[in-house]
Amino acid sequence: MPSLKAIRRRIASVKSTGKITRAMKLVAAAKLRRAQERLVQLRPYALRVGDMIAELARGSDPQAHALLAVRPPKRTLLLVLTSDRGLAGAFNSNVNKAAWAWLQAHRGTREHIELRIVGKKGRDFMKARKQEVGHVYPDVLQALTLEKASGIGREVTTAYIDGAFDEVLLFYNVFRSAIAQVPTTQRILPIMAQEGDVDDAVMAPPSAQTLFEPSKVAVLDVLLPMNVNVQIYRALLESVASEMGARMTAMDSATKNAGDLLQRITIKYNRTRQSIITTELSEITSGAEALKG
Amino acid sequence: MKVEIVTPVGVKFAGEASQIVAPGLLGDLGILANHEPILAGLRTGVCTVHVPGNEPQPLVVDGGYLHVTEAGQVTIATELCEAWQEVNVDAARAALETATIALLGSKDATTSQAWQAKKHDVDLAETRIRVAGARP
Repeated sequence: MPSLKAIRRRIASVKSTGKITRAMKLVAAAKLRRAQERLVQLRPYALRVGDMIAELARGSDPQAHALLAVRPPKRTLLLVLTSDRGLAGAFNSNVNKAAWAWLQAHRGTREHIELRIVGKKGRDFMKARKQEVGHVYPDVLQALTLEKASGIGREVTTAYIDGAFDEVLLFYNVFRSAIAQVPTTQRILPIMAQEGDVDDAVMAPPSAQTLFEPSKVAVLDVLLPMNVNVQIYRALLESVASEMGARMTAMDSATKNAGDLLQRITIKYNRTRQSIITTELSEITSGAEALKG
Repeated sequence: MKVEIVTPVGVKFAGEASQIVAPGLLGDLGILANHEPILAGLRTGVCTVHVPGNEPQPLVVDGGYLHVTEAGQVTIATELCEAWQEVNVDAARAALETATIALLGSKDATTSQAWQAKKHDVDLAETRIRVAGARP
């Protein structure tokens, strides 16, 4: 039977763990709210740019612009968005596994697959599997800004135009709710117009009479990179929201478990205390009996 | 005419305006009501929104596009849009200095991405200072 002192120490430790997990849950909840707000703010812009691209891409020859041209995929870039910290349930392992599975499935069909990673957890995962990583973007997640997302976007777009890659895929978690994050693969280059993407209620499509200033190609030059940037920015925000949601859920259950454990240990503590008292009492009475004799 | 300026950090302006002067790729574009449908690329520069009954509002705009629909609705989508109140003049002056030095010292071809990026930094800092100086 453990000593009272040991149990007391255990109780203190479980209590403080519970406090930490509760604090982590609250922090994650606050950060989640902020990420969601930014997603909401981004929505009108993302909708307008997305619709415009879909409309323009549909109406034009895919060869009209390098970013629209579909080349046979020989060299692929995978962008994997993970987090810097763990303790977020299956958040990191889901997206890492998705990227890993894709990598295994397509290794034979591609000349070259490069990985670029956001977040230390993704880097560690690939390192543990001896997978070479082309680049790890540092400090993106500490303070996520549009400029950082655009920086990645510009780099990727330039590499694509230079012919370093024939396609660029994005692996990240889409935020559904605090308990549901969906690992998703999205192709960001070449840009493909998806049917049914255009919401006509939001924006009337540019008609045949629309003037392009200075030219259609010049407008595409501006618009297409904008679209790449906005997709990366949105994916980063979704990823951060998912991370916080996953952490919130994980820390909530950890706090609950700590509570249950505390209850069990407290009962054990009281039982031990009681049995010690009982033993002492019986010793005293038997001592008194012995004196009487 | 109805005007909307959207950025990734939110809707910057939504409402009625009588005139807009936007920095087009080849030169400034003046947009009045009943402008014909147009889709124009924008450069980094000053965009002025004239709201009836108010002083014209100068805004920093960093690229993007301007779209006038057939219905006459104007949409500007840009990655960055700042009013003069939001411009940090000291930071912009410092940025202009470092960016100018970087641009003048650059050995890249003027058509290269690297040179364009440096030129963009100079333009953005200049535009910020101009907008801050143009406060009503």
